[in-house]
Amino acid sequence: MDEKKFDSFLAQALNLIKYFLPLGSTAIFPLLYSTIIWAIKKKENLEAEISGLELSLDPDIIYNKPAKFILKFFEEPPELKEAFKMELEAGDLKSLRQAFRALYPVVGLKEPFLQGLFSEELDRGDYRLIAAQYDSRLKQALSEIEAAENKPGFWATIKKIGKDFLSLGWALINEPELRAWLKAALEKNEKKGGRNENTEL
Amino acid sequence: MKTPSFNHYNGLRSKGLRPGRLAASTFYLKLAVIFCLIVFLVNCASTLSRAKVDYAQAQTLQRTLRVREATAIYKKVQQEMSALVKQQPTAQAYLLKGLSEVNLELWEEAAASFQQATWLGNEGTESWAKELSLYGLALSFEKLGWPEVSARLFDILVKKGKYQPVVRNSVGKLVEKKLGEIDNLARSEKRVPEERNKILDEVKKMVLQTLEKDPACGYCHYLLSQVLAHREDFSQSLEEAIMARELGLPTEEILRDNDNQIIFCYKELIVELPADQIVSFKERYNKWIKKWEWPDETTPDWKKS
Repeated sequence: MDEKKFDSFLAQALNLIKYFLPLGSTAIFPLLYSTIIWAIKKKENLEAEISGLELSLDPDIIYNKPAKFILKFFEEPPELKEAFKMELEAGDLKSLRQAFRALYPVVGLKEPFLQGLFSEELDRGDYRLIAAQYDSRLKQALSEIEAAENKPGFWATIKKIGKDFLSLGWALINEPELRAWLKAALEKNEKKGGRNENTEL
Repeated sequence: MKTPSFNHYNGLRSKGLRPGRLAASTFYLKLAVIFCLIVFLVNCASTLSRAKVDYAQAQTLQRTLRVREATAIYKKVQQEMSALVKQQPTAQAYLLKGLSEVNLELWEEAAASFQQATWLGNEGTESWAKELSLYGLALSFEKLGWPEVSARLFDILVKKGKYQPVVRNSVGKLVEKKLGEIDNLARSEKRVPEERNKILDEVKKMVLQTLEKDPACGYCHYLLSQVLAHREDFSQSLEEAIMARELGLPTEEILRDNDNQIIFCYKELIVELPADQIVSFKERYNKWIKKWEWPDETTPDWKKS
């Protein structure tokens, strides 16, 4: 992927988004990430994927799984096995079940918005932090999106960003790579923004 | 002296309106009123017809997992019908308003709309109104931390309810709760297999009874698959999960969870089945995953990166 092209795409995207969400908002990274994933997979229900996290328009999934299911969830991926080694060795199903409630939608159901929201923790393999902060972080990001939704044209703008990404011809990029690119470009953008502010001051 | 003759048209004459012209203008006035009335009625009828088409479209979108778009249309229909019932309250408009409100989870408003529809002559909606009020109440108890009371109300709705969305959601709530009780049994170290099996039998029976009333309910097959996995009946659990996928599931999240269930059962069966059955089992399983375009036995399409 061409770094300059990606930076310019991101600058344009942020320029569009800043009308709806303040730059530095918790929701920006997960929103951009899930938008691009949505565009790559040519899905039409981006809003459903994001808002569906909170809207209980339909019945919820069953979280009370058999013990075997829970154990496999933690034992099969090596990084999860390592993170919850202590609980697994002690057979502490109670703690595992609690962590499962937060980690299953992020890791098991691979919800793009949640993967974006916890991208740093996923990259670091800090699954314990995801489990601890799941509710508060999700609530904050969704309330920011809810406020942005009140401005007309929000979803149309988000979909436009997804389509703009596709026009760059990078549809074959894999998800962890995309997260890394996006993160690096956003950080670069933030630093640039900070420098500009300082110069203005 | 010429007595001024009284003519009630005098005043009008002075304004230049003669009797002939007045009759004509009255006629045109009546015509205009009738025309406006026809336009109004046609407009009400077309608003209702358009709203019906919109509602049907929203349902199609919801079935194809485009929930958000469907929600936007339900909101539009609800707003249009709210305006329409103020101008011309009809049973049909209230019915459509109530149905949209059900999909927006506005339980109290939906119950009130169905009640209005009943008063205006729609007989079927009275029981819906009652069921929705009860469901809203059960959700309130659940939120306020009264799980026993809410479970009792959900149970009544499952046993006696006739309105499918309410019954389906209530079954889901009860299944989750009962499966949680099994987990609590294990935690309290009672580990009484009889007690566990008794709960699982109850839950299975409840889901099967719901399925008898609505055999094409994909979500109910999903629930049954979850219950059967707790009984370690992975073969039947897999069959039910496949059926759920084929019949359609209400959200992307449930679809993905159901796919994980399919994979979980597959992995268990590979270990559990006698060697002579594995080949034919794999053949059958691979036909399904080919149909769903999964790259391999344990990777659903949405896990491809």
